[in-house]
Amino acid sequence: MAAGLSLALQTAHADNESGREIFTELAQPSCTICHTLADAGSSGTIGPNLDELRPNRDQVIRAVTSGVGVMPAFEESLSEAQIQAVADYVVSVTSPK
Amino acid sequence: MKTETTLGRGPNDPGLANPSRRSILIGSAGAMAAVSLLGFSRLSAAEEPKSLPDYAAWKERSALIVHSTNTMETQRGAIGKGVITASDRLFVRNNLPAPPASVTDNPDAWEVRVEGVKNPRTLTVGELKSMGVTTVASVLQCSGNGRAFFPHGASGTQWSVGAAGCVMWTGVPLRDVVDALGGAADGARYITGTGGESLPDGVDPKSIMVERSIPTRALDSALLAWEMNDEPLTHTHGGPLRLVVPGYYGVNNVKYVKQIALTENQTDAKIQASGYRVRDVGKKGAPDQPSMWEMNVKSWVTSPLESGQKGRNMIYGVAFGGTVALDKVEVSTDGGKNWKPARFLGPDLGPYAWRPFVMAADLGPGEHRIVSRATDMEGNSQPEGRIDNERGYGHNGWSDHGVTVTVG
Repeated sequence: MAAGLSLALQTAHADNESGREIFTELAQPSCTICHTLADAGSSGTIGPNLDELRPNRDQVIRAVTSGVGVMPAFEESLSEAQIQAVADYVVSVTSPK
Repeated sequence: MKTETTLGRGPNDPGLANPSRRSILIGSAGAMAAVSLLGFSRLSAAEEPKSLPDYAAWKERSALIVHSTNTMETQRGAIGKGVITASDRLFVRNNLPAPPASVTDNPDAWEVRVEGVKNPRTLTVGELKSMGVTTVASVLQCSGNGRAFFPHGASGTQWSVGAAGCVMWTGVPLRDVVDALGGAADGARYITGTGGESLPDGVDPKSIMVERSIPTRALDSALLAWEMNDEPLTHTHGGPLRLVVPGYYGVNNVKYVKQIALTENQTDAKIQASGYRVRDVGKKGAPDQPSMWEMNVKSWVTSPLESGQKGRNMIYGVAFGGTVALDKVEVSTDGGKNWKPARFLGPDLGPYAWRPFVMAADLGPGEHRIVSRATDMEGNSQPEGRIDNERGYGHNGWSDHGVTVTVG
């Protein structure tokens, strides 16, 4: 039980790390160019400030997958798992503590 | 809801005694929260008190719902009974961050390049001011106004009814400019306007730039505007120079316009090619889908919004027909079973302006679903329902736009 919980935490941690990496490096163009997100150290001003917007998981998945407004769709350049990971990351670092 | 509990006065508010306005504003904030509870928009974001961003700090905070730095809508109850929307209450929607305020320090020096004419030229605003001038009242409305009413959760700002206003634009008719430069080049079918926002490195410019193409039939009404409501156009609303296309959705009214080109084809910028296209839910945007150009006929009630009094009530609202003049507005206080004509209020400022309307109604105790339905001179009338579409554009269904008013 304890081992399972620890493993789950580790997995969540790993997902968050990769979500951050997708946000700052893997996605092209990088999310950081357009979005402000304190945890990622980004201060882009083209798109919404994610620290303020605090989108939910579905909103991020929808926006990243299909694009919204001037935001491009990433469904051809990121996998579904990567899009989910970046959504989990954004939600986790913008949710009220 | 703590955001709207104090009513500050903006520079354009004469401060007349109006004890009901405060409660109207609070009521409409409550109505937004109710919409949120139904899952149409995220409650936590709506609850979060946000201050106005620097580039819009002069606006009347209590009259606005601040969705984000680039998106602010007018409170439903803050639209008044006069025809013109005060500048400090007008909604703001920027597709890109506004340029610095210094862009309007010397408006007459701003340059716009005109291409696709016999004699292409770069003109300053100062030169434009000697080429011709016109003033037009026109409704400015975001394509996604009413998006919050779509149940499928359309991406984008969850506008209710407040991404719209009616303002006076002053500038040079675009046709005068084209004529002065020798007329349109052969084969021109579109007017393509390009915004002057600076774009970040690392992104394909075409993917985010504001560049819109509209059909050349709009040459009959389009202008290059340097004033809004008799004041130099602020950078908040696209100053020093904005392409204004009366009767067309907001996105076509390119801010900080730096180039106008008469072109054979529509631009391949993303905002034109796949953005602002009406398509079924789940479909991607593509150039063969309808573009958000002319606005459709629409109306909504602005007062009362939540509670009425037993007996006679004055029901107010606004209505417009896009590029077509309005014929009539009808109001129902029983959810659309019975309709009565409303009376237009105030002067008719032309086909592109909206018409405030009023109808007196006797209301008994209980809940009343108040809806309005506008019809234009060509017989186009608001439908009852919405036409579901991926991005939640162009909603003019009368049912969703109604209000439920309680009489105690």
